[in-house]
Amino acid sequence: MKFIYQAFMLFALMSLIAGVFYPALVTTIGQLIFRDKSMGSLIVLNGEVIGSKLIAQSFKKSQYFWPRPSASNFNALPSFASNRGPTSKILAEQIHKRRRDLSSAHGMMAGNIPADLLTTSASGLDPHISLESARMQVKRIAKARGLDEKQKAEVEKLIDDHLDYRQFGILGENRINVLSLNIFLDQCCKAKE
Amino acid sequence: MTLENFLSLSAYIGALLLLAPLLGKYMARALFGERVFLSPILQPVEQLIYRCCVIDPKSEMHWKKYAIATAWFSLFGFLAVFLLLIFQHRLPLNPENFQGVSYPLAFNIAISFMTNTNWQAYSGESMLGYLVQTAGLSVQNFLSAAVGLAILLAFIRGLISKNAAKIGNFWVDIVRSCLYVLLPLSLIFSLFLISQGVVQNFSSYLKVKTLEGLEQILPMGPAASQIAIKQLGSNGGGFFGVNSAHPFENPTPFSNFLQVLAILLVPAALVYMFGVVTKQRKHAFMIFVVMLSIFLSALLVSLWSEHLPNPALLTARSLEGKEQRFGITDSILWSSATTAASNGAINSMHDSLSPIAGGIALLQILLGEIIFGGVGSGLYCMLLFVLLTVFLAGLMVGRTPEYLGKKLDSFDIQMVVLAIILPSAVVLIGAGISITLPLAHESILNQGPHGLSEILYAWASAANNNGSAFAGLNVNTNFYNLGLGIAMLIGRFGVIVPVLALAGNLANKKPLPKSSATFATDTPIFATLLVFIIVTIGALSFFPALVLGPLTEHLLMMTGHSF
Repeated sequence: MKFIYQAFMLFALMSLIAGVFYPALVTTIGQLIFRDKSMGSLIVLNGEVIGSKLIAQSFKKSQYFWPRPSASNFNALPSFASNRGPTSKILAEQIHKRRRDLSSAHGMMAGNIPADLLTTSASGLDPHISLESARMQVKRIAKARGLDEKQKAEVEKLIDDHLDYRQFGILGENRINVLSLNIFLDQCCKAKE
Repeated sequence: MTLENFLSLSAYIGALLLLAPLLGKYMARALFGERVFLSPILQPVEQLIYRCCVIDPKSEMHWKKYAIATAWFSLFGFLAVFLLLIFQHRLPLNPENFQGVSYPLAFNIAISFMTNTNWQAYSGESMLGYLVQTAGLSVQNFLSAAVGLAILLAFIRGLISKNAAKIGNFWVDIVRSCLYVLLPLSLIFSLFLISQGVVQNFSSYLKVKTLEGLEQILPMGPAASQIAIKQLGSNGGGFFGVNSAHPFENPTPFSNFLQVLAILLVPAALVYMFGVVTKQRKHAFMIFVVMLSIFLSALLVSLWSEHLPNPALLTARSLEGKEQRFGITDSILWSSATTAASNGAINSMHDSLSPIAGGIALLQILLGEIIFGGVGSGLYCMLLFVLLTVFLAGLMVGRTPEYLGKKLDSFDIQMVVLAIILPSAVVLIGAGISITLPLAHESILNQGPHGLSEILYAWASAANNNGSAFAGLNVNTNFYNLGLGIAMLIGRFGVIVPVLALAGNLANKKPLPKSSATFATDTPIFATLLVFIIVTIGALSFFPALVLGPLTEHLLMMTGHSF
């Protein structure tokens, strides 16, 4: 009996330390030092929270930059992926369809569409696209917003400003946050109604 | 692969080689009861715990008592998680009012976290409240890792003690592992993670109106504290459904670097600790070299495979199931590390990996996760292969095999073989049954050879306590919840009990002085032989299955087939 008591008491005490004390301590320190980040890196526009910098949003209108396709259709509850394998016929058909749709929407060769726009991400919430994918969309956006050449150049510059390089020069991949880019796009070049 | 990708891989290996000795040296003191720089703060806490639990830290246990202690302690862990899951709708800290989890799924989750597997047949953000995550799952992340460490400590004591009947005190090993190693490391790690954007709060989910005017609900929660220990304790169960692919769980390349480093940090440091404690640094170094070379080979083959063009899909880069911020290199580094260790966290979808890269992940799990491996379990399973190597080398030259001065008798080898064969048998039998049962078949998502890989991966992952998945397979069914739950139990305790029996039997022996006939375990010849034994055992057990699954798929893919 003493043995079982020891097992139980030890389990209870360790639960208290690791399950109550530890997360409480991390939350307290985290919220003190990194208030915004611990709350989800939220973006506030005109006094209202419009999303998180880290979570992709659906963009379907032509005047916006489009994100990567999402297996969960940008629903975060729950996050999930396609899980389609490398020899999946369904995946091959999906990629083929995306390639066709994107090339007709952008008036470009099907073979030149970057891979990140053809494939769904692991989380369904990938907030980033590649530099090529952003540049490719400028022509379409300029047309949809009725931008002149000068404004188009501004959009090009906006993309360059939003390019996140590999962290510390080597980690990860170069990428562009679609939501941030679209917010700035709205501010710099108002869409003509 | 670019120069930057190569440099980031080098930085990873460099960081691992730099930090492993530091942590190893620290653990060699802290886990064996010597004073360390944290002692002034932690010793009073430690003493208080012993007093509350009426534990005499100086009294040691016979191996059978040690095993029973492990069983009781794990049982309470199982019960706590199970009850928290079943009754979560009546408990606080459940702002989204999630319902109680069904019995088969709760059984599966509780077993999974108690055995350090963290198999996920559920999605955290849409099924579990914050109390279950912190007081249930997070606690098991610490305790199951501590159990792994405790078993390793007992095994090492068995190797180095002289004519001893006992192998240490389980309670003390658990307390020291948690207080001195896992908790301080997790505290530092979780703060680093928050600095990168991992969420840590107890708020309710946030409903927002997006820029295009749609509604989106953002999940919240105390993620950072749980993710830190999930990575450090080789647990791998994500706070969110897609694990470390989720931008709230792994927001930046640097958070990714830290997390993938945390996967191998403690297991690598334990090899160093082993060398210090047994005073066999050269031998430990050889084990480390074997682990590192197999790890690097697996990584390179996976990278090569992932960069092959896929005639069926015709995309420039295979980014299906990968995140743009990680790209191919960081995703493959992760898939290699998480299956080398018994971690099982993911940052890309293994189901969508190229056939060979997915096959390598599968193979590393099937080898028993001995390439650094899980916290504690990685090294004690690798030591089983070392004993097997010594035994076979002894057979070849016709001498009684001995290891670290202790003669190996038939009981020792029986225990070694039992512990190596049990998980493999569970994988093959479980996968075999699933292939013949229509109700198990229905869960497959991808057709063709890939379907076989999905089933094989599930059983391999469960029986070896990994926890990653070819997640297309729908495993939230009664068959898989119960079957894989039992596989996890056998895979964990079917190894722990023989290892403890082995420790007890070895502790009893008197070390012999080294003679000229002793097979040297600190030479490159030994290392080569060890690699050979590992590969042979793996190949003999699983070659047919791997040919039918990943290899066939690879060949068909290269000729443009799809299913």
